[in-house]
Amino acid sequence: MFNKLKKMVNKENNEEYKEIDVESETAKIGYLNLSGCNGDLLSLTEDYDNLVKIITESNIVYGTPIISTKEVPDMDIAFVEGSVCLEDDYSINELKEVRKKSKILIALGSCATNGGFTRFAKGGQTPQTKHESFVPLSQIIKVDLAIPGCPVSPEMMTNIITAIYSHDKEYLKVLQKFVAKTDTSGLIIQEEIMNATLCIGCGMCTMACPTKSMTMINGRPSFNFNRCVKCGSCYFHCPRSWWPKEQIRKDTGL
Amino acid sequence: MKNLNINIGSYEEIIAMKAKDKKIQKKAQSGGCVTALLIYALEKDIIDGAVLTATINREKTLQTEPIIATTKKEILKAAKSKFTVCPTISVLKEATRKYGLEKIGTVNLPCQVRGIRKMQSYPLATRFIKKNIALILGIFCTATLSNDAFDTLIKEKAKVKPIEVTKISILEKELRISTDEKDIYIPSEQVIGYQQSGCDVCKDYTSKYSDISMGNVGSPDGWSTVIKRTSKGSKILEAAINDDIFEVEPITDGFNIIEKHAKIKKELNQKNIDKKLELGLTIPYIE
Repeated sequence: MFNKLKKMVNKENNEEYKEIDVESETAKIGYLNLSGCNGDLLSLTEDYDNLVKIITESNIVYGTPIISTKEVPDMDIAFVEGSVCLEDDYSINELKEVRKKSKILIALGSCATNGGFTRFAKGGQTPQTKHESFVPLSQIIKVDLAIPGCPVSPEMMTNIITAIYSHDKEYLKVLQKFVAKTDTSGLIIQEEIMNATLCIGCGMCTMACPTKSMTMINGRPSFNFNRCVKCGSCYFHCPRSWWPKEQIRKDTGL
Repeated sequence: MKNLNINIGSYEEIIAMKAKDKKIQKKAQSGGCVTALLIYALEKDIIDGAVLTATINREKTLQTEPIIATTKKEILKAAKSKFTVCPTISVLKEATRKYGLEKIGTVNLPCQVRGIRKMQSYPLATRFIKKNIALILGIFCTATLSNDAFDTLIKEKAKVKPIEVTKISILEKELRISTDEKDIYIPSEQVIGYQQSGCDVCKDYTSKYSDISMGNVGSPDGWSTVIKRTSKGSKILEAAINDDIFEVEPITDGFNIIEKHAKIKKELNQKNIDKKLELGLTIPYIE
């Protein structure tokens, strides 16, 4: 039985992912905001050093706050922010249209990746009382890559765009696996790290948590559900959840 | 030139060092190198503050807490080895936001170094922290103890009051707890029972991904072993040596001793990992 389990585990680890690669040097980039707060895009604007470079050097063809086109054009990369509201047909259609017209679709931020804060919606609120079910993008369409974070840091956005333009497929490979991680809340630290005898009380989850719902009590992370926005930052930053060995060797030169 | 050793990791050079400042030496664990280097970096404006681990309330317990040090005095407070788990890196965000530090120096265990390195490579949700880390010092680590376990070890097993403890050191086969009057020795096998179980799957003894790694294994008493790793770390260390902060000696037999320790940890914990994999647990952290 152990062997069977081992095989299952190995199968999961070796699962092949489609390589992310954009041929053209002037890749067409699109942006779509669904049920989210625009925070990830705003986060990018905070990186004053790189913002101008990114905006001038990349070819943005779609995205309401940046460019005004109603027709969805063909795109190489589409960033989609926010979760999908199941009662909002307009959003679903637009998302499907963007999926059809884009080569790579990236879920930007926690709401797009795992539902994030919108998962707590119960409906009955004004002005849209009927809007009550919000789900991650991967439940409706195929997502190629997910970047969790609430908000995603501007450094990470710069890294992603640089990696796409410089054909750094290895950097993006890890993020492809995050698409399946739709159940990340603070509780996952308990279930997948502490209950798997992996926690060493380093404090990284507490540092990464944007809402201080994770605190260190007696050398272990203690999770306050009332404060959690379900972004999964704690899990994705934990040194024991996944380990990008090659990338770190490359970055540090070790 | 980088050397690569399977057990020790990638490094530029390994040397034995000792701080020349007598005041630092008196307060430090062995050679006082970590403390002296941090103070040097602070004075030369290489760092503008440090995220460290300190024992705050010595009266009652030896439990540790993270501190953000911005003066020489505060850095000295954090001298000496600690043996309990401490969420040191949890205050990195506070150090950049509340204290406004732009060049943070930090002293971490292997696992914490890995956390920071991962955050630097994939800064998913940590805005404006990555660039503000100027120096990562790694410590040699066999394993850590949880706070309560350590308290029990000191109070019940060694039967000393926390405030009386002057120094704790790991020797080859035992743990030595020193007070002003006596030394108490506890065999390593008895300490293992108090260790954190998370440490059972770690195969990193020398903080493989730090800028500079330091520890007292491999060099004589009163000296520290120093591993230069990244070019950034080497540069800072060489500048400090040129400014006459340290006495420097080559390590001779020391290399084999470090390698032996690293290998023991690696092999022992590989067995633990295998055991867990057999149970059907996924250990995503195997290196």
